[in-house]
Amino acid sequence: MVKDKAKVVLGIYTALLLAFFLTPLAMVVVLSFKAGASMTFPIEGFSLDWYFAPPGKLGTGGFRTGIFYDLYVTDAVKSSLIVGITTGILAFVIGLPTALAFRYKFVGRDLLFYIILTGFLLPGVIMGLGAVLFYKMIGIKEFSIWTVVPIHLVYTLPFSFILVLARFDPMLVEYEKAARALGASGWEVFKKITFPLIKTEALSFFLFSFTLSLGELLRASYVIAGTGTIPTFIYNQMSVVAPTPKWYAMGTITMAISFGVLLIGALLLTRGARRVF
Amino acid sequence: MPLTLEKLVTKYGKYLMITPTVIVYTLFLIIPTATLILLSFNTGERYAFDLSAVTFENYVKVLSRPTFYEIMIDTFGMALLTAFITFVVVYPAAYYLAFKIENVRLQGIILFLLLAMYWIDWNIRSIAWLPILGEQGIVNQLLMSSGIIEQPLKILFSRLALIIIWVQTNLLFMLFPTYLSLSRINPDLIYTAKALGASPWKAFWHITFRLSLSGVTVGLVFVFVSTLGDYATPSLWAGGLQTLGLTVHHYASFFRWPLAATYATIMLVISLILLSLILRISNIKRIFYE
Repeated sequence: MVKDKAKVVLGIYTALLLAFFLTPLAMVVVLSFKAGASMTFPIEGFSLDWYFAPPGKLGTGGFRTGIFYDLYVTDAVKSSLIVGITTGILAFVIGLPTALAFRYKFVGRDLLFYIILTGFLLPGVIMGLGAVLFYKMIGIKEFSIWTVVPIHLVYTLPFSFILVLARFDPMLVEYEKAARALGASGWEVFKKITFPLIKTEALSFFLFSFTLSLGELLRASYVIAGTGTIPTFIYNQMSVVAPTPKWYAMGTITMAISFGVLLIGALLLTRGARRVF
Repeated sequence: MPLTLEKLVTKYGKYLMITPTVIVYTLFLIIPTATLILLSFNTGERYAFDLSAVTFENYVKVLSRPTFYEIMIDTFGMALLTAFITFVVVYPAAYYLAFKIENVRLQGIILFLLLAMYWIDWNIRSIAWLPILGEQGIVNQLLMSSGIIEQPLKILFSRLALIIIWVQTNLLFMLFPTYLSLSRINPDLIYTAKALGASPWKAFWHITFRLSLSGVTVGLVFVFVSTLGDYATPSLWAGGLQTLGLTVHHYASFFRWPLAATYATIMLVISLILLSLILRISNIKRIFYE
């Protein structure tokens, strides 16, 4: 007889929930290796064409090549990585000091907290439209990946920010005070006490901002020009080109990037103190 | 006592630490939003605010359109429904994660997989439903081969598809605050209730659920607002459903900036009222600091 019935039932439920939402994503990976242009089952045969087919092999038209031969795709991947990495680094550089300051009382702390949170909660279409109008107002008429970065920074920073706040050890302030009392300078305290204890949180600023930026569409599509990032590129293509398993191949690649980065992050984060996750 | 540099840094250092963030959020969040609100009081295709041309024309025009109210009902109906369904779907999993898993590694893996939903490319996440819910998809193939239906069901381009995709997209927003508030409940409270004779259900309802409500509220608002601002999912997968986000996007893509700004301002006002009201009730900052 099982002791905790609720545990079993809830466990099965959680497993089903995961299965329901992860199955489509698994399909993306499977179908990206299928031959032929149809998007669905049955799979007539497997091939790597949607990854490696040179121009001409899959028929005519610029979109009928494997993603690694498609200059637009490589361009979009490159843009996405540049935007993501820059956003991640900036989020770390400005986010970590702010999160550290939040452990103390200061004038306008609550207001700043709500403003930062709004960056994440403001409906995407409003932020996109607002950004366009703002850029036009200050005279920036040519959009590029660099006009996306600040918008992604505002959008992605809050997520890691609240996560980091929730993970901070309440004892940290006490350790710092002790070190100060023993004669350490402010910089020494940060270097020897604070930073070693919050290394994992610091890393999460980069990781979450990077991955959120990589998948962001609603805001970026307003302030980007040219090929765009991966999501804006696919979104624009989807409304003009009949979909082929090539999108699945792109999905698989982006999934691989996000999962790889997050897996590294998750492993590093779970090594630290486990208060939230 | 002389005021040394050291003391100044200690006292005002925190203001120095927040300065970059304040600048970034002022420049790229507050000013753009203010620009947008101001422009909603202009007309035509201009994108720079003109004080001499201030008018309420846009609002009169928008509010007097009968379709506006249909759009509002559809938008808010779908957003509320999605928020509620996400809550129902996520809560048991959040409860399981917070109370029923002793294995830390398993907990980490499940959380990682649930969160992964959000980190997959936006388009791919929705395209992924094509082989399952599409006309040639698995569901239709199964139903047709078993003789239950003759014609393939149009699941994909409908409100149902929109809700499925939105729930998947927003799992994270619901899960994170719910899990956080559940895992902060003092287990002693539940034990005490049970020791005093409460049935497990009663203990759950009066203690656990009540105390997790702050997180749930935050989750509901997160999901609600996030679906409000989405124009891409409805435009591709909802089969012609008109939403507020889609309307803003529509006018913006035809360079009718002031009109787009008007719809956006209406959305903004509603979102901000909701956010401030409900976040104040649930006292969100308590979850994260203090």
